[in-house]
Amino acid sequence: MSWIRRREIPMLIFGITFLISFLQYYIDVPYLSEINEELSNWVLIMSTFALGTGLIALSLYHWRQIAQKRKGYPMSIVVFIALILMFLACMYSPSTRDYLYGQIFTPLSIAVLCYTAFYNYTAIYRAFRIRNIDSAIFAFASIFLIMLYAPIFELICPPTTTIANWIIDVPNMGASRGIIIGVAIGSIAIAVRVLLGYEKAYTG
Amino acid sequence: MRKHIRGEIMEADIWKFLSKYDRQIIFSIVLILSFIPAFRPLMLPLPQYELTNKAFNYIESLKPGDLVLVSFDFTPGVWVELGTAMKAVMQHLFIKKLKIVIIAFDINGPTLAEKVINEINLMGAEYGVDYVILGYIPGMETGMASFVANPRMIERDYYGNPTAEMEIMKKVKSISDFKLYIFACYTWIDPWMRQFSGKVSKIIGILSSDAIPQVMPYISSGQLYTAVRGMRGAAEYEQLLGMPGEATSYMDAVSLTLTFGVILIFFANSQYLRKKREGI
Repeated sequence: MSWIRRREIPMLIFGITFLISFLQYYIDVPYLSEINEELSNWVLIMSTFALGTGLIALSLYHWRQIAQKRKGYPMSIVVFIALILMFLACMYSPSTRDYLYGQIFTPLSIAVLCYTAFYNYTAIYRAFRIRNIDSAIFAFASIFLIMLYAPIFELICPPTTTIANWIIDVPNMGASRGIIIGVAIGSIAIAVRVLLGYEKAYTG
Repeated sequence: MRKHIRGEIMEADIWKFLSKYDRQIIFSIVLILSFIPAFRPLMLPLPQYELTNKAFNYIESLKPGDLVLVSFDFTPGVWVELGTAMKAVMQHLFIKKLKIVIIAFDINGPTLAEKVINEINLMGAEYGVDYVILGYIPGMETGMASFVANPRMIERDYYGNPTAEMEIMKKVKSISDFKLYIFACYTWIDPWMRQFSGKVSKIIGILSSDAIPQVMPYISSGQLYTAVRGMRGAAEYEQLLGMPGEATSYMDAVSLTLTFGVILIFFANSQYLRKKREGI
């Protein structure tokens, strides 16, 4: 019994749902698209439940942090305060919710992301060394693309934009197409492998 | 001779100091350059990019009352890039008196949509008649597929009102009723292309600047009609609208800091060559 529980049932579920979604896209079989639509709705319901389970897992983790007074546990208290505050604001005071989201959460999120911008400049200084032909191509392409997004260069030296657009439209386009096609073929290969039972990681 | 030696020692000290505190120096310069335009705007002219013009012209060609689907699929962290662009584009949609259905495949989307709505001029548009926020659709790509299969799947809007009674939703029968789909995201756009391409007349992406090179094949194939490239695109759009706003005011800072980036590349390489020559 245990071998069935571990492998065959998840594989069977995957196989059936995969074939329904796959076939309804290509073949006009009665009821198949309705079944697929229903299955898609199940996924939406499960995704919504996942938010709930995520909240429970987060609360349990931080509760353990506080209970055992692990390193950094005051931050877990902050998590609980923020959680409760936002929950109460959402339930009882939309204006407080707007304030918390718009005036605290949004600027903090922007600040965190802006911090990475500063590191990017340090990375420019440390990583853009022309050591060989590859790094030279990389550095020159980067210079022109940086110039493309700063209007000042377009005004000082208009050909920079032409060169940057050529980089985007020609070599970049080819490389991006290659990546897109490669990813698509890879996805098909993985789907076939899972369907044939070669990939078993998802069965646990 | 002594002066020359002192000069060499000083020069060596400067390079040593620069190498030791490079991060602090770079951070300080970027910070100063970001703040300069706030006190003294440079008012640099902004050349227009064809992709932004294409987006503007298509929206301009729509007739009042045409249905437009907009999805907010980004987080507040990228507000400066995508929020400013969404504000400009949404303002244009309201000026054109289009019927706007707003959805979100990111959990932050509805709140950001609300923020945009609160910060622009709605030109007298009425909720439920001219625009509606349907809220968050979970499941990402599966959610997209479900919405495409049945755009009336959401029975209650973001505020809990029944959508079936809303005038705007009565116009929506299928996904092909939408004349335009606008999405704002900061990730790989494949899921949006897979699910929406060919189902709505035109798709416009509001994307971060770094995503533009990745999406060019989709624009070239016509699957994605055009894209507005982050804050630069937002500033261009504001100029096309004749309403310079948040993004336009940031462009001077962008110009200055990116110029510093280019200078930094040249400086880093001169340092590298100097060290190589001196055998350090």
